[in-house]
Amino acid sequence: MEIDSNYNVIEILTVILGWLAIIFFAYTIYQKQMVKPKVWEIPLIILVGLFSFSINWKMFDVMVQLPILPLGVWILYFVFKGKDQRWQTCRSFAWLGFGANFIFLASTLLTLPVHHVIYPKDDLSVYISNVENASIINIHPSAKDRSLNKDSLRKQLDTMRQEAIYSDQWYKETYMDPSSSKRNERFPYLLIGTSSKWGSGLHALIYIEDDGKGILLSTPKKELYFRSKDSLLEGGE
Amino acid sequence: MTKKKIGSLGFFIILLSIIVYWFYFSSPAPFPPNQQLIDEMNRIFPKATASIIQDTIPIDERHVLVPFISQKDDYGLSYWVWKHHKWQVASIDTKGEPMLWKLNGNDPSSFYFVWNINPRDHLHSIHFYLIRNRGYRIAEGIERYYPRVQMEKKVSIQEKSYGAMQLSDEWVTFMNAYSKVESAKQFPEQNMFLGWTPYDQTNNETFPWSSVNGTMYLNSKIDLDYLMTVGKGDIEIPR
Repeated sequence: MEIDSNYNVIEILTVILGWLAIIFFAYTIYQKQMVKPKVWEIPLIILVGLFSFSINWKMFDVMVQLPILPLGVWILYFVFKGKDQRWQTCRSFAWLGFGANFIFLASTLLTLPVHHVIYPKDDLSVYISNVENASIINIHPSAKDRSLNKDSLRKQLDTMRQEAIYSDQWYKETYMDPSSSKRNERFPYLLIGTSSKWGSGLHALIYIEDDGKGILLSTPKKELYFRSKDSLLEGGE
Repeated sequence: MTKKKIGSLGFFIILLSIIVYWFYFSSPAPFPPNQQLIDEMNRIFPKATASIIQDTIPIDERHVLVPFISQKDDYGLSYWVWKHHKWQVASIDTKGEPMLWKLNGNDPSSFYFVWNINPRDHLHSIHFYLIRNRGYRIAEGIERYYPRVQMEKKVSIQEKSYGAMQLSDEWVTFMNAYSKVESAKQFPEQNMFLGWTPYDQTNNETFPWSSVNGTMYLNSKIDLDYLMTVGKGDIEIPR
């Protein structure tokens, strides 16, 4: 069994940075205050302040949340309305909570280009970085009894050429004779046991073509197709 | 707080944890004898009219499959689970058409095919399938091709009418990889399914009419899925 510990490290780092920024701002506000609230109340007020009505907005392939209404701030206002003094002391922290939404929004937007530079999304070696425990499984009866040639895969990872996907053509070629159920699959093997580059948090299904010279990468966002010069498989012919 | 109060509070907490442990986590008692199983099934679900226990198949420490024959000569399945310090019958199906028993939520390695086919149906074997249909999509300049996935496992029901079979490692590997990619998608697609095809002695497709559409007792704590039947014509054979 493979143990999967590949998290998106950059995303985790920016979330931590975001929280550090919030703590820094909270500390600055606390220093400036004449009448100070109890320290344990501050995280609570910030957390309630975080609560907001936001709209989802698609930007460069990802959903970002744009906060609109500061619901948490309103709730705190109604709770503390009667006690004027209390509202004065906690108001800044409540708004800091709402502002935290924007800090996280900014960090998400920052993450995207950084992630793309460190882990280029068109690069095969980002998805297949460790082939030590790699093997193939047959996912269609037209697959032959073949095995993975690890050396061939390792050597060609950086030299495989990306090519266009002719999805409709591949599909139609398979159904040349629609009356017969005798059909071969163009990609009857699945490459397993590989891991993507450390810290990328990327996942893909990696299909191998019947001639052993093509890789179809199916990622959550898109598909990529690569061709190699020599076969990645051995035996079976 | 006085020392005495702290002492009794500590005692209370220890007692409570022992009870909680005993109730939820203690290892299972020996599985009850057949007559007791029959009585319990007929008490909880009189329609079962269980009369003969064919076998008790331990799936793991806390799950047991019990195929049985009813007074109406139906071949059924009962599902037993060790829960709340008791062997409980979680589900009873008066007929044994193949089903998928998911012991542990979304973990495919805990999925089992289970079946009990009435000999009157003269089945010879069952072929189980994992299938994802071939397809393609061109949208917003992004082309996608979905290879067909078709994995097969044959089971003979010549010697025994019943059985339980864990999904093979390759199926589990594929399902895990597939769901990891799908769950990261903005709009996940669910186009993979598990199915079965019944075959008779002459290796022709048939249908086990006496083994389907049973009545079922279902306790909400069990995860059982119906399986699609796949026509022989929908199965691809290599050229």
